[in-house]
Amino acid sequence: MYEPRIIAFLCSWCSYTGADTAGIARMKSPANIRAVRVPCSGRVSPELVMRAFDQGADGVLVLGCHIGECHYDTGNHRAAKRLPILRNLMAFTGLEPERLRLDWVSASEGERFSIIAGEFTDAVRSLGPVHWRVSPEMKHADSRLLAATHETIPYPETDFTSKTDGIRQKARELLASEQVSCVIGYEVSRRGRTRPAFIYKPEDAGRLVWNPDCTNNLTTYLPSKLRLIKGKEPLKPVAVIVKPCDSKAINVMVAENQYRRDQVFALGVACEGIRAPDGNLQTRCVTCQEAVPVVCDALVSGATSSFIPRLSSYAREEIAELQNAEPVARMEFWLAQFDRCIRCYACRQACPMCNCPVCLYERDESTFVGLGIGLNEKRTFHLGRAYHLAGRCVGCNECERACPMNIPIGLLNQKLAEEIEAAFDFRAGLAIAPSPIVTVLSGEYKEG
Amino acid sequence: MVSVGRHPKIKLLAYSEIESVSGYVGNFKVHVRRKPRYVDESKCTGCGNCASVCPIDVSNDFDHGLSTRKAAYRFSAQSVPGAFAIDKKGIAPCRAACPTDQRAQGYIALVKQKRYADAYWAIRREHPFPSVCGRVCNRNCEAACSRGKVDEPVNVMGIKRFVADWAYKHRDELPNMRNKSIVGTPFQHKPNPTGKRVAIIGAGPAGLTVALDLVRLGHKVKVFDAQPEAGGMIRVGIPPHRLPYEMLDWEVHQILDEGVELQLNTWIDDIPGLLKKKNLGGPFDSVLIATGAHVAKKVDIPGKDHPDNWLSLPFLKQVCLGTPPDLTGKRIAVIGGGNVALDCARSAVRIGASECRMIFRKPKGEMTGFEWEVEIAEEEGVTMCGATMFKEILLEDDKVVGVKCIRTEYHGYDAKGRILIDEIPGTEHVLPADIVIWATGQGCDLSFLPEDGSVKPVKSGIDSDDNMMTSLPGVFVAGDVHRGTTFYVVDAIGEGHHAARSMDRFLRGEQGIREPILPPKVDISEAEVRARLSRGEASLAKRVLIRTIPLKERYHNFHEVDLTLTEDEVLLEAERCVRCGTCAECLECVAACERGAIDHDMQESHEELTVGTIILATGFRDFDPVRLPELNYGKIPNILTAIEFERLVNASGPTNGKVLLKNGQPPKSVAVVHCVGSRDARTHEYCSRACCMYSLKISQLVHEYAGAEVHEIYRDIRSFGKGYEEFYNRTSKMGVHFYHGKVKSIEKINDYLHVTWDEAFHGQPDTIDVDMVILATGFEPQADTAQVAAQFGVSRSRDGFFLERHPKLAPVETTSEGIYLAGTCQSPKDIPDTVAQAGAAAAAALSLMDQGIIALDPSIAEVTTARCAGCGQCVSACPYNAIDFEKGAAKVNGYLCKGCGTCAAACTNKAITLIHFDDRELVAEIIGLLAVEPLPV
Repeated sequence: MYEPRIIAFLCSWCSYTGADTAGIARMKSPANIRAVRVPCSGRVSPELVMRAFDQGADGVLVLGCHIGECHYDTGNHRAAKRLPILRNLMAFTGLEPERLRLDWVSASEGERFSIIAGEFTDAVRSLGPVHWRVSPEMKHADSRLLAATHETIPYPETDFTSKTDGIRQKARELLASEQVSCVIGYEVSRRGRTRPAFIYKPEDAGRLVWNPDCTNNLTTYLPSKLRLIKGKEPLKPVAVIVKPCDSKAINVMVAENQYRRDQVFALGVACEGIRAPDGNLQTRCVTCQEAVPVVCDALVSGATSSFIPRLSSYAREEIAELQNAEPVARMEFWLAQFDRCIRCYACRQACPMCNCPVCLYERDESTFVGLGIGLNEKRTFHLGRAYHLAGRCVGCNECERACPMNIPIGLLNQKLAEEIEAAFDFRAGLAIAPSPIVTVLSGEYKEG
Repeated sequence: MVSVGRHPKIKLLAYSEIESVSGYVGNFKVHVRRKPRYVDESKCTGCGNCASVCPIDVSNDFDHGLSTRKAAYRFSAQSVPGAFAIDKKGIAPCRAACPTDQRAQGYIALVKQKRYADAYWAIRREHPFPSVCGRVCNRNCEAACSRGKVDEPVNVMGIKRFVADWAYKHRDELPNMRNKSIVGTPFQHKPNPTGKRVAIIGAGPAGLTVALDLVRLGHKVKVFDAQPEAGGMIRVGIPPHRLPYEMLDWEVHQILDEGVELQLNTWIDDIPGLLKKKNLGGPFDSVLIATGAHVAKKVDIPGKDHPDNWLSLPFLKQVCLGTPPDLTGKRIAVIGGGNVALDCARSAVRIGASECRMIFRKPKGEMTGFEWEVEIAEEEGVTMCGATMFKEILLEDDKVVGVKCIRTEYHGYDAKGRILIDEIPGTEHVLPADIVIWATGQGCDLSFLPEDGSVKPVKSGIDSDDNMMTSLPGVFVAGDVHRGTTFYVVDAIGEGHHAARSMDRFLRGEQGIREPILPPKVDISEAEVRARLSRGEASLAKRVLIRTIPLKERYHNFHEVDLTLTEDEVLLEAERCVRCGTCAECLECVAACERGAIDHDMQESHEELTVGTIILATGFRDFDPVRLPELNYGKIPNILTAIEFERLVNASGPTNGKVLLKNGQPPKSVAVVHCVGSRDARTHEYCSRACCMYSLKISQLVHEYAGAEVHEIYRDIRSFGKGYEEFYNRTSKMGVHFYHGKVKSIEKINDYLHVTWDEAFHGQPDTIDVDMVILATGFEPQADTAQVAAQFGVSRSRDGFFLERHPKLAPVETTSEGIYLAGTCQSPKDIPDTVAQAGAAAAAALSLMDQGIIALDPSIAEVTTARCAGCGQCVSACPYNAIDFEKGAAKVNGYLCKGCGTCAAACTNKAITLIHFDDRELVAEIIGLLAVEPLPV
């Protein structure tokens, strides 16, 4: 029979002592359990759990003090928030959710420890080893294979000149009155590509445009423009042109102290949607819910949008289809997708939320992931990044758009946004508030 | 305990609760709520005078309900501190409802004990006119009475009247019946004279209340009144068939006896002069206007100016001063539906009126006059013409012949409080009358106010601030003249108290509003009232009703109609009080306490203590054998728990140390039942350890003191300690019988308690008949252990007791650094073990204190600034607010950080990590653990 290897993170005060109590009372626990003592279940970071699976664990058990009895007051509350989200992410990418269990064992509950350890080992044993393989036919599967009949909406024909004029006029005003030091907008390059533009002088404002290809989330550039002079605050704010989806990133970044709200002048555009290379509306626009930017200091003139909310935010058929598939099929699908990754980090660079000075997944110390392009490493990078965006991602989907290998990264982010909304009734970016995953549970927490 | 109480370095906070604990070892902040004990611990000598005068008996918790104690009590004879406490749940609803602050529960409790003189003084403390409010009150107290939730409220007014009448009857002996001041202790008996002089205009209830209050506070008071008699409206406005005057006059005299000066027949119209000039006994430091509302009003209808239109107040004044007009054969129409109209009508009937009608706009059921009085008035011959609007006084030959009326329809009041009444066309009719008496409201005569407007009038009276002071500094106002409308005597007295407090502060030069803060009002539910009734704390009798004199005796005289309750009736009624506040606030204890230690207005206080270590010694709860139905505890008498027996055999216990049955006889045979609530899957699995040995001790005591035959029914004798087995052997040799088995039932058969058990040696049921059964009850965790554990961050073991850090290596420590355990809160144990553990806990705490330094856990969080994005996720995640920002990067406060590592898990970039639980260490550990192949099972 297959003997699984299980990593058990035991909180030092309750569960580790509880395991000890079981030992003192001569109760049996399976030898498959390998205990890692941590001060608190709140110390168990999702990266550690993922690392355990990477390194061949078949199951991970996290045990802490009962809610309300935490030695650190509320440490176990955080574990109770983070780990279910991680479990859902892992389940979505093909790992059986039964392989990760979070439970509570107090110092006196030796018997309970012994029972939980036995139950969990039996459950993992019956699942067998983790299915880490990709079948040959999946290797060459396209990212859109699963979405059989994806509704495409042709890009609506609209006049953009009034919006372009509005943007130029406002940018000129802002720069001429020296309200802002820079306007971040879009321009058309000599080769006809629409690209980000940084305008510093009023006379250059004429370069700015608005057209169906203004896809970049320009708020990504805000931190660097606001940190022009190292260690010194820039004297004036920076103006940025925002679409409804992009604008929400400002709220998240303000909540995370990346800049102050008054340092940003959000020049909002009520957008009609952005065009995908195939001429249809981009997927994010199909599911868009906001007609007008959430964060907006001025809306450009002539911006009466004929916007109609199209599909519910999370109605992407792929999510539903993957949810319904068998875990093995999900695992194969995602491994096939991640296998295409070349670790170019384009997704990370396009993301306004990826603001770490040195990315955890691009370090040479290999604590959580190596720098190579093994399937395992690529998978860890994508799942880790998805988890880091949980409760923070505003759904601009620039990561997926930027990916040269057409990996459907956005699905992961959307899936987690859906989970966070269901669990905490929270959507990132609608207000200046930190992600609920890092804050304490409010109200009564019900065990089980 | 005594040496603990006396130790200069031990601060004992009895009667207190811990609200919350924060901080960490060496620096705990403990928030303590000190419950008011209503006795100043530092002054109380524990003499027990308060308890000896206290009229309230309650079940004694310390004797486990085997005896009663007073509301002023000491928990046990050996209590430390030895100060008494008063068991007060709060202010009774009757007191809270009364504008005069009358402590009704207090004097009712005293009446119950037949202490009528004390009850009279308890009433007089707040109320100068007991005879008045025993007769003509609007009885807010009865409306608020908790007893009314179940049947009918206590007849508070009837009881008060009885006390007032009793006092009047015994007025000559009364001063000798009591040697204590009515204000309180002998220390306060003669207040220091302040040298301040006060003039009061108006000798009505408000004015005289202020006069009395201020005299009692040491001021000199002179009262002026324009009338020939003192008492104001209650003297000249309430006819004698409701309120005889002899008693009122006596009560006014009592006020004068306390030092108030009175000058009648004097009209004052120079208020600023009172403050400056020397005539009339001035100059005065302060003046009170309490002139009342003595101007009756008419409604403007045709014919109202004919001389046979009389006004209510002059008519009533004639009646009250003993010179009523003769109305023989006259037809009277009283206009108005209030209590004044009822007084006029009932007076008219008494002085010969042939017909008397009351005409008022509202329907009969909605009229302002008391319902019960309307009934009596009708019985006496007054015709109620309700829902009738008076339109004109009809005159013929310059004589009144009748009142032209029209029927009305009443629709209540609108949102602005205006009455909604429609006249019904076509219902005009004439009610015959020779004389019309107008009782349609009263107003104030303000003609005496200074012409310069320095005392500012408002629409219907005199304006004042929150302190009852008028626009002229030093001049106050109270009573009818303040509000301008008629209200009840109690309201006038209540305003008087308020004005007196304000004037006292003014005279002493104190500023601001400082009204007394009272303890919260008690609100007991219907279920609680029923529970108290079922426990026999109040009688189940119906309310005693007031009897009246026969109808035929009521004409051509002004004999009082209502009769006083008899002594039997009043005692029956006093027994009905459910004693909402427990303490009745009769203040007898205040008078009895020679040290002045009692303060009934004591407030609960909060203290914050900073301590380095904490020892939990919260003890256990005795198992309640009611949970084991086969034992019939609580249903059959003479089945006691061990603790109850301990009280019985104690020299200070309910039987002074005698072991007695309920019938007062000593028992001839006693059974001791072991393991009640211990070693039983239905209750507690654990052994309570101490019960075997204390059962043996009980056996010896019963054997020695009562000389009874003792039978021990035990499951196993666990005599594990030093000298314990020898004790067991000695007990056995004394002749105590031992049976091995588990008791199945205890039943009462004839006069005996029939105990049945399964004999463990031969397996057959065995029985015995005894007089008394003692149950060796086990130990349980306190009911609030979970709450206390959460408060102090201490874990609990499966049995519910607090959990030690390690059963062998750290038996007094807890998982929370600096918090130790001692005694039965950790597990059941006997006294030697408890003392040993307490010593160990003290030593553990002392060793920490002796070092004076605390080694912090080296495992704290650490930030790699270069990696920190300053996003603040760690700040949100930290349970201790130990992380701040410095120059855009996170910074850990090493003193606050406790090393949970929640921040390290939250940081996306792993810029923050936990020393000794670093990511690299944990990952290495994981990799190492996974490298080992599992053993086949």
